[in-house]
Amino acid sequence: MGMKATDLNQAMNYVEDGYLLELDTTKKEILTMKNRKKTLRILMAAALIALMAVTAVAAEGLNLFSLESGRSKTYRSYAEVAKAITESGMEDLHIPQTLDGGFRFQSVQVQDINGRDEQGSHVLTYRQLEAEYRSDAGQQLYLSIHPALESLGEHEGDPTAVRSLGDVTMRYYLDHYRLVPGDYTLTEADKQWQSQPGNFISYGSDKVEQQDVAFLCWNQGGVQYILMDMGAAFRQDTLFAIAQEMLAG
Amino acid sequence: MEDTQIIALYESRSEEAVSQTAAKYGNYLRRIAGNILPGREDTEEILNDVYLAAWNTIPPKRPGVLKYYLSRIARNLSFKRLEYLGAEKRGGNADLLLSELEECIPDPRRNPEEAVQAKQLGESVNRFLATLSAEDRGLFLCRYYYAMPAPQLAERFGISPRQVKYRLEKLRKALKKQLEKEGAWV
Repeated sequence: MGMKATDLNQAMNYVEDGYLLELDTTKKEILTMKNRKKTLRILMAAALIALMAVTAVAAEGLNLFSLESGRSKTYRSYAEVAKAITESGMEDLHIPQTLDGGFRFQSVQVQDINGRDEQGSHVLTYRQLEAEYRSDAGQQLYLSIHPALESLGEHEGDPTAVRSLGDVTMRYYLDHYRLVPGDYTLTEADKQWQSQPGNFISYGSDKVEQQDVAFLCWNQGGVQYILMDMGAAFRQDTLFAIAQEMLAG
Repeated sequence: MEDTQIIALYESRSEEAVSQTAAKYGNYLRRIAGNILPGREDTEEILNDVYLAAWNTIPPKRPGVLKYYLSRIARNLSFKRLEYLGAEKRGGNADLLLSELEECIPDPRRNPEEAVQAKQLGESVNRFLATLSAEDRGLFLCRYYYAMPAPQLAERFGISPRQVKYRLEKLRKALKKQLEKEGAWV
């Protein structure tokens, strides 16, 4: 018995929720999402800079000033995650389909990241994966995975909380970002705000906006994982529970 | 009401789950069934069947997205109902949809004895959807998931019915090519 039209019609029931959700998303929402994506990219880069820059200078003499996205490719089907992992060049990764707390996989992006020094010279390149998860209530979490870049050493900043599972140490940071346009001149108030621990100013947004960001980092098997909660909507226990479930799985 | 709260009502066996589902998703489900079935009476009956199926399956099931879980039930039950309707009652749209899907099927003579697994075929369809632009993907799903007829598609996508026909034909050919390439008849 070969394939019939009714088989193909039945197969439509297996269309991934992400595609149906896309269909429910209006152009205005897509625009908002694009803006959010842009904000996210700035925040992600800023967070990584905060994680890497100090030791980059100390260990390698790299004056890492900015991180920017190069080429990227997005996969929206969970069936294509293995392909994305292969393209990332990293091995033995696990990108879950669901995360504790009802978060479901939406997409994964393979992305080249270029690091530049203060003069704009290219000093670093690596490839990362960025997976997006969404809950029924529309809450989002992002999982960024990149090679641990051993030459950059361990982060020397002060996390808000630290927990261990086996030989893996998870570090939780709660930072406050003020995003400003590229040509923005800092006011005295900005400078004072920036001098407080955990406060960062990042350039590149369309307008001045402020955002709290929580992220949980851990290093496993030579790979750095960063679970990012834009807006810091979740308690740290929630992020630790997700990370622990991933580590256990 | 949030979906998580509605699901919690199902899980606590509160009959309010059904009324909340109907209030939130009734019109959406009615449109799906209405696209597939010819008569209002059949559509309303299917809607009740969808609520009953949700009541009977949640728990143990805990849908990822309640809306799409219900939409799959509505699709399934509507097409099942269609099978029971005589040719004179069936109306044109759903039959036309099936005949269009027939065009996507690789040559059945290649491996006529093999049954096709819907889930496996669904994965092929997802891979196909991943290759499309968001607009083409939307058009394809509106037609073959939501069973929207051509005039409705033309209005939604701001193109003429003729363009709808042309673009769907192109998409069907692309799907057929992919199914052939993947050996989806095996």
